[in-house]
Amino acid sequence: VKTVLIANRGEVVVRVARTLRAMGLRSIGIFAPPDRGAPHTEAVDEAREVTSYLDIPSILAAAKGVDALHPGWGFLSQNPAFADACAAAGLIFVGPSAAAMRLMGDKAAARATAIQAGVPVAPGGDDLSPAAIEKLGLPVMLKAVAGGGGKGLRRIDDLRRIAEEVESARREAVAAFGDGRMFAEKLVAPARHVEIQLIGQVAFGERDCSLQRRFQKIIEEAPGVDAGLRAKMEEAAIRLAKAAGYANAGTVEFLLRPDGRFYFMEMNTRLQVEHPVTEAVRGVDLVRLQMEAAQGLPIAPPPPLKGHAIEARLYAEDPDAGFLPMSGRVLKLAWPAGARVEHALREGLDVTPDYDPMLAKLIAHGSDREDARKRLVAALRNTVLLGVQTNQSYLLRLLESKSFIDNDLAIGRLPDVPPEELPLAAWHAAAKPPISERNRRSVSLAWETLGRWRL
Amino acid sequence: VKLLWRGKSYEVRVDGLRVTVTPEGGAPRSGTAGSTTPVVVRDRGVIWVSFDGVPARFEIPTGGAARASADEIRSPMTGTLVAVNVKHGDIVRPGQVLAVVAAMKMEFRLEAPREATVSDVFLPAGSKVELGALLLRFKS
Repeated sequence: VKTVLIANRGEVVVRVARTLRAMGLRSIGIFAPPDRGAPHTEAVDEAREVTSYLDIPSILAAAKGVDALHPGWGFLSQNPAFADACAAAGLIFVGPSAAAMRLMGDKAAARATAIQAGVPVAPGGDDLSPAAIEKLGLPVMLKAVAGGGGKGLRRIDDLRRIAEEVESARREAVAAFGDGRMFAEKLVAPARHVEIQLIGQVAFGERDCSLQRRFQKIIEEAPGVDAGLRAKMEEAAIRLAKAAGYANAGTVEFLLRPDGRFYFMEMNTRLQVEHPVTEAVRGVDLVRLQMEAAQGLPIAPPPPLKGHAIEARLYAEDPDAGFLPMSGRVLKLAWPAGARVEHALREGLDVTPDYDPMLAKLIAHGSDREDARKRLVAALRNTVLLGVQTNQSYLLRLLESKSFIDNDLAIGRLPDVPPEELPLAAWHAAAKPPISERNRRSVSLAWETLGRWRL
Repeated sequence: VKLLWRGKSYEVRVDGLRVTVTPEGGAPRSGTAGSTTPVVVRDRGVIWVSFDGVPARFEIPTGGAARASADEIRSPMTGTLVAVNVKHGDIVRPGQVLAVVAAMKMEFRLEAPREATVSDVFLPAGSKVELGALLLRFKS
């Protein structure tokens, strides 16, 4: 392999291209028309235009002279038809086989595979009659077989509403995936989201991603469990990978109960957004390992765990307005020292509502959890991103919350954070020229009057 | 427009109208790990400030939405009228708090700009108000 096309955009491309360059490989990027000249097109050796990041024929047409294709995460990365099309075009797809993607993409088949492999799953099945649901015990989660991103997902708390909820979830699943098959699973709560990183059938430890809002991860960290539980979860994940004939990067997601029992949730057949926390504590480059695995090289077991790493995702959203995605132009940008920052931004760039609202992620590595937390807080305090509203202050409040500091986290239960407190110095700064607290001199403002002070 | 820092709050003077603004956050942070120099960017009608990892967006209103005349008290922002301290016929002294508007964890106390007699109170406490909404009128 000499030339690799990265079929993605934004920070994914910047991240993957960095490793390709370090490996002495030539990188080809793609861009859809709105992304012409975007930073990710400058991170690669050559960028080629496509109609969209989801148009398989257009992407394959851009792959002339390319040996391998890295799908990144999101977009077509979990689409078995894309993996098949790459193979048919003579390209090495940097990922698992299309068959393994199909098996894990079908949640009912993945569940059946887990059961056969002796991997624990929550009680459940495809019998959605009130009697069967009652037998499982409420609350129960209704899940779409073709599910993803929370679509076709329903929590059932009331037996009388089953028929209604099944119909509603089925409609949503048909609309989203063209597949209305549903199954039910007993809700596991309270639980943590703990996932095992695999490269092929070698485990690289876990990440705890319990801090989520509406199925969207916000803060992730590693390690998340003790050595004994890690060994059990890794063993279960490897059993599943073997049963699925799995190759390349994948993540097996589990729900972990406080008593240490865990249940298979799903497998993501790609590299994850939060892979850098694993890279930090294991001292590995997962993209390099993916490239090596794709070329049939053996994967060595990871180095021992070192320290603790925490990642925070900076989103273009307004936490004060229901976390609505925001857009705007990046006016000022400054990244901190002391943390790994993954992004594809620059001053003057327009953040549009066309794509994912994630702007950047910051990853801090420390000697232990508290050290990593402090480093991440310091990094966020030294981050400047103006022009687009972000969740920066919300991330800081989460990281400084008692629940986070005490590591008292569970899915669906976000820490209580205090309301935003705008430092007085920010008021001074807005009322420029800066006024000193001491001399109390009056300052004429260019403002017509006080407007809406958004805190 | 004049903005005066009064140690714990800002006093804003607009055409003789005085508004006291008290940030709930209290005194500026110091000694934290973050940068201590605010970064300020102005882009058309918006001032962006980043300080200590907390970004803030200040909108500069356009047009005469919140224009105050000496005989009228208008809402300085969109929010809730949490208190109305005067009624028709009251004689008010300069600096007397006439009404309080709250929004986004902030309270704005609307003070009398001069000695005057209240002729109209347009809205009761608890009302939702838009930026520039007419709240009170004095006898001219």
